[in-house]
Formats: sequence, structure tokens, C-alpha cells
Amino acid sequence: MKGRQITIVFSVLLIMAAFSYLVFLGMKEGSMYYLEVSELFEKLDEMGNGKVRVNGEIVPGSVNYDLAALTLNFTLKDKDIEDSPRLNVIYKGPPPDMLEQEGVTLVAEGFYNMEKRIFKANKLLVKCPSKYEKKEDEA
Amino acid sequence: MIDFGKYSLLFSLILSILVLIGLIIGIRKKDGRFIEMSYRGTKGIFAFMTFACSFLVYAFIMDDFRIEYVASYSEKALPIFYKITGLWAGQKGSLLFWGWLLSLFTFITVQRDEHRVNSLYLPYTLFFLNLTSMFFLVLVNFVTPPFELMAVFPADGNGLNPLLQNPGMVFHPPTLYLGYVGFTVPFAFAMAALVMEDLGEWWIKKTRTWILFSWVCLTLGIIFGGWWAYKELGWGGVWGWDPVENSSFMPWLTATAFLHSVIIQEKRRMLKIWNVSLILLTFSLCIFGTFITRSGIISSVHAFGQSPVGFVFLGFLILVLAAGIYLIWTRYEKLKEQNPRIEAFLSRESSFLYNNIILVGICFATFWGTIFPLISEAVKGVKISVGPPFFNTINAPLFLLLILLMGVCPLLGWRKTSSKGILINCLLPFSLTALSLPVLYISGIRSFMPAFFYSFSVFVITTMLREFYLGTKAGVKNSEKGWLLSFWTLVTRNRRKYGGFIIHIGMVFIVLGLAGYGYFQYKEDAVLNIGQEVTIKNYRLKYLDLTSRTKWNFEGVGARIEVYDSGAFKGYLRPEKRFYKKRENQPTTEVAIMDGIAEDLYLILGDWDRRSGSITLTVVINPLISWIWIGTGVVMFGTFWAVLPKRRRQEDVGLLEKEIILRLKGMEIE
Repeated sequence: MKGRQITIVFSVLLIMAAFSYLVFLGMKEGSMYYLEVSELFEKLDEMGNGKVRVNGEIVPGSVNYDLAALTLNFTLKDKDIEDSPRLNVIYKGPPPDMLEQEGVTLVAEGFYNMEKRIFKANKLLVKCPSKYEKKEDEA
Repeated sequence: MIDFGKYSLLFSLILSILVLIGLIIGIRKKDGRFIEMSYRGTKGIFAFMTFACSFLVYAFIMDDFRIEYVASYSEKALPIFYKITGLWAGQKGSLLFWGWLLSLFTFITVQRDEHRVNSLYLPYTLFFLNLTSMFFLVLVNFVTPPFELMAVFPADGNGLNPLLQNPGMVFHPPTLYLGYVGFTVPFAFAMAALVMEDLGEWWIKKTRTWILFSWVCLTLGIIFGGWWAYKELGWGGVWGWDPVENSSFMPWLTATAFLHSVIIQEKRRMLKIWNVSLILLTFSLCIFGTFITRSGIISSVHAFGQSPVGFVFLGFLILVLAAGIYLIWTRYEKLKEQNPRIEAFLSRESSFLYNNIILVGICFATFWGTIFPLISEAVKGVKISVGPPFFNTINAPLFLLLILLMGVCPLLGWRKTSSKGILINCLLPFSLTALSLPVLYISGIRSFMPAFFYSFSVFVITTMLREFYLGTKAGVKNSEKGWLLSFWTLVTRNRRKYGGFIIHIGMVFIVLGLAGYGYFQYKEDAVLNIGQEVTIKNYRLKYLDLTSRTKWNFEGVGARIEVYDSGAFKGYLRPEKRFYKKRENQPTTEVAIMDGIAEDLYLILGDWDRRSGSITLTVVINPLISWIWIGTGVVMFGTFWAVLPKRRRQEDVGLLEKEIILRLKGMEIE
């Protein structure tokens, strides 16, 4: 019976260790800052060159798509704050749906280039406010 | 007239309060009349809820825009089937639909019980079912009333969001809700078993059909969600580890664990408390998922409305968990295992145990990744989100182990298997798996993980087919029937076992598809002028022209593309952007897909130049993705094979009831 208990304890420890290692690996691979535009500028120093996600509202009229070069440019700002810092974003690829709707917020995933002062996004996630349900205050 | 819906919801709530009172009095005074009255009450609730739902659907069909909910989600020009599905297009309607399903399931649970007159457990079960019903009835009456009127009656409605105007909309929400609501029944039985301090196999036998039914609905709901995203959202994928997706995946994981661990309880009478905990967890995760999606506390691509309803669900979740944990806690001493332990590390029951550990592990990892932004914000003051790489890094190896187990399990016997026996059993599957590796290498699968996924799949399929073969062979030997007849006898006599094997084969197909698109998806953007061609991998695509068409409530601009595969003409594809009349500034992508067994060609029209007609075309090649849908079909077939046609003879049902009554008699009722 004793040997059995040792085996059980041992195997539980082994499973936990393997699992923790996987979680550790996953966090290293997949975790990144999720920031508002102004937070990005505040945290530029401590972030280094890591990948980040920036959440912001598209400045109306800032969307520009160059079809021949397949390049999309637009400017992000903090949601509902008029005088927030502006972030210029560049993305290689066609614009996603609903980009030019008013009040659209978007999450851009990518890197901030300090010299060129531009955010190079390699993934865009558009969040449409009316996608499934209107907000309470709109209803 | 318009108030009918509102009042029938109010009557339902009043009736459910009466049912509750009747149950409490009936159980306390041991008076069957009160309990019988409560049973009848469930009929009334079901009738009123059915009426309320039909009334709302009727309002949608008749374009009754006086009702705020109808005006928000419909319009005159909307095709009729989207009008009907308006019932679950928004929050208010979907909660009403949820409540209706719950009243239906409660009604069926009571009606199905032939011995309900003397039943000892049914009052308790109904008690928990009815409490859940009451929660939803309070919601639809006071928090999210679906029959609220507009202040000013509009001539036409707002229209349904274009993204919801897709066949996925017809299937995805109801199947998901069927799954969620279905788990309420086994949950209620489990709670009743806890209250009565008897966690024997009876509640599992009684709820087996419910469990499988809910499980298959949840599976379908999740897959339909992926299918919808694939066809409608135009990003070329089916699954993105978004919080909303995760919240439907977590209960699926614990439910799958539960499906397996109850088999050990039935065979070996072990894991009683574990099973009750799993069903409690599954039900809680269904509620938790609703909380996440409705409260908006975790940012998601699926922007559901952020409304206080989410926090009402949080309150309910805390209540359910507190009650469940209290019941388990107070009964723990009495229910501790007196039964045999697992004897060997290599036995069938231990393989079920590993299966449970892995599934719960995946669930925990998914949970952790989903709520991590909240934790990091609370602890470090910064939101840190975890993306798909986190989930893939952890879950892919765990899934791999799970697949391996699927293959190993049938090779092991119950209790103990001799090492020699295992070796003999493994010989064929292992050698085929080993053989598959060079074949995979030659066919271009050269990285680690996918090679594992595919060779393990070969392993599972071989062991499954081997089971069918050995069973049939034994049948031929024993009964001297022909092969075909023996096979038929085998699979019809042991529907449950072979249904399970079929489900596993389906699961392997789904994994094949997921791995194919996950590891080998190819994506390229191209800019094309009219008449220009582009060659991408084995495809040659020629852009013919840009045309527009008008249908129902939208105008679609599409590019006609001529498709050649390895030189052979395959047909035309027309990826499109739609402009719905109600939302002209919100173009939506309508992808064009040429699907095949080996791979899908998936075209997205990005943007176009109005003068020259040149377009941006995104070309996605998704290998094996069709196998997800094929596998789902196989899983469904397997589940129905395991449950539906099994017509229990009347005596069997009677025996089970008698057994339960005998077990529970002599027990003190509080």
C-alpha cells in the first residue's frame, strides 16, 4: 500500500509539474500587454520591443487604403476622449469590414516603431458596437 | 392583444412560485396532493411560456414594430426565416427562448417519470429545476422584458445585423441553448441525489439520455458557431480562442469528462462525489459563460451588449455554486468511497481517469487564459491579454494525449491487464502508426506536432476498426452467422459501446480538420486588374469582372473569378461585399468558398477601385477543413446510435424505477 501511495503522489506531482511548465510556456508565447492608446505612450519605456495589443477608436476620416500597395493607414485615439494622444497605424492588407463606421473601436496587434513613430499592426480585430446587441444607453 | 405576451410571462412566474410553495409543503408534510399539484403546475408554466414565445414569433412575422424588441431586430424586407429566428437574435428574446426551453425540459422530466406518483426523488429534482426556471422568469418579467413597447411606433424596424443574416444564425444559438439548458436536468437530479444523500447509479441512469442529448447539442452549437464564423466573418478560420468561444468550450470539456467518468461509476461504483462535482461545474460554467458574454467585463471580438444582466447571472452563479458546494460538503463524510479503488495504472478505468484529468486540465488552462486580463489588472494594474498562442501551446499537447488515450483505452481491459496482453493488443495499431510516419513525411508533413496529430489519428482509427473486426469475428465464431449479420448484431446489441467508438472516430476527423487548417493554412493577398490572372500554389485565378446585384434587403458587389486547379477548370467563384439597406455604411464580406475533401479554396473580396475596377483579393487555402463538418456528422450519428433507437422494454423501465424506489425507501426525508 505504501509503495502505491508513493506512486500516486509521484505521478500527481509529475502531472502538475508538466502542466505548470506548459502554462509557463504558453504565457511566454501568448501573453502581451493590452493597452489603450494613451497607456501605450506612457509605457513605451518599460515595454521594450514586445508585441502589444492596442485598443482604440478610429479617428473619423483618417482611414486611407492604398489598393495598389495593399497598405492600410489609419489613426487611433482613446475611446470617447477627444484630446487623447493619436497613434498612427499601418497594416499590410485589405481593410476589414465596418472600419469606417462612426465610433468603431478596434484592437490592433503588433509592434510600435519608435523611430518612425508608427504602429505596425499584423492583426486587426474590429469591434462593432452594434454587432449583437445595442448598448443599454443607446436603446 | 399586445399585452397577452406580457401577462403570460407574469402568469408563468406566479405559477412557478406556486409550484415552489407546493413542493415545500408537500415535502415537509409528506403530502402527495401538494406535490401532484406542483407537477401539474409545470404543465401550466410550459403552456404559458409556449404562448409567450409563439406570440413573439408571431409579432416578428406580422412586423409588429410597436414592440421594441421586434423593431430593433427586424424590418419589413427581412426574409421570413430570419424573422422567425429574431426570437433569439437579441438578448431579451434569447433569454425568453432559454426560459421556454427550460419549461419544456421540466415538463418532459415530470411527464416521462411513470412512477411520479410515488417517486421520492422527483419532488427534489423539480425543486431545483423550478428554482432555475424562476430565475429566468424573474429575468424576462423584470430585467429584460421582451414585450416592452416603443414610445413612438415606427413604420419600419431597424433591421437585423447583417452578420446575423446567415444560415448559421438559424442553427448556432438554438443548439447551444439546447445544450446549456439540457444540463439543467442532470444538474437538478444530482442536487436531488445530494439532498437525499444517495449518490448511487440511479441518477446517472435516469439522466443518461439527457446528458448525451445536451452534450451533442453543445457540440453542434460550438461547431455551428465555427461554421458561421468561417462562412460569414471572412477571416478564414473557425476558432480564435476568443473569450466568448471559450465560454462555450469550457462546459463542453467538463461535460465530456463527466460522460466518461459516469461510466466508471456505473461499472465500478467509484467516483461518486467527483461525478456530482463535474455536473455542478458544467452547469456553473454554462452560467459563467452567459455572465462573460453578457457583462462585457472581458473584452472580446464578439461585442455583446454590456448590460446589467451579466451581473444578475453572476449572482445566480454564486448562488448555484454556494448551494452545490454546501450540499457536497455536508454530505461528504457519508458519501466517501467505500467501494473498490482503481487497481492498476494500466486498466480501462485508469485510462478514463487520465481522460478526466486531461479534460479538466484543458478546461482550467482555457479558464485561466480567459480571465487572465482580469487577474493581471487586479494584481499588477495592467491588462495583459493572452492570445491564441497561449491556448495552442498548452492545449495542443493535451489534446494529443487525449487522442492517444482514445486509441489506448480499448486495448486495455477493466481492472487489470497483463503487460503481455497489452503488448499483443498493441502490435497491429502500433506498427501501422509507425508506418504512417514515413508516409506523412513524404507527403510533406514534416513538423513535429502535426506529424504527431496525424499518426495518432491513424492509431485511433486502427484500434477502433480492430474493435469492430474482433467483435464481429467472435460473433461469426460463436453463432455461425455470416459476417454481415454478425456485424449487425454486434453494433445493435451494444449500441452504447459501438456508438461511443463511432463518436471517437468522428472526433478524430474533427481533429484532422482542425490540425489541417491550424498548421497548414496558407494566406496571400493579391491585387488584380480586370482580366488579370494570379497563380497561388496549385490554383490559377482569373479575375473576370465586377458585378452588382440586388436581392431581398441588400445590394451585393462581387468579383467573378475563374478558378483553375492544376490546370483544370473548376468553376467560378464570386466573393462579394454586401450593402444592407438599413446599414449602407457597413459593408459586410460574403466570402466565396470552393470546398473539397482535401482542401478549401476561400476567397475574400477586400476592396476595389471604382474607376479602374481593380480589386484586392485575399486567397486562403485551408487543407482538410471539411473534415470538421464531416466529423461532426459522424459524432451526431454515433450519439444517436448510442441513445435514440435503444427502445427500452417496458419491464426494464419498471425494474429501474423499482430499484430506485427500493433504494430510496427507508430513507429519512427531511
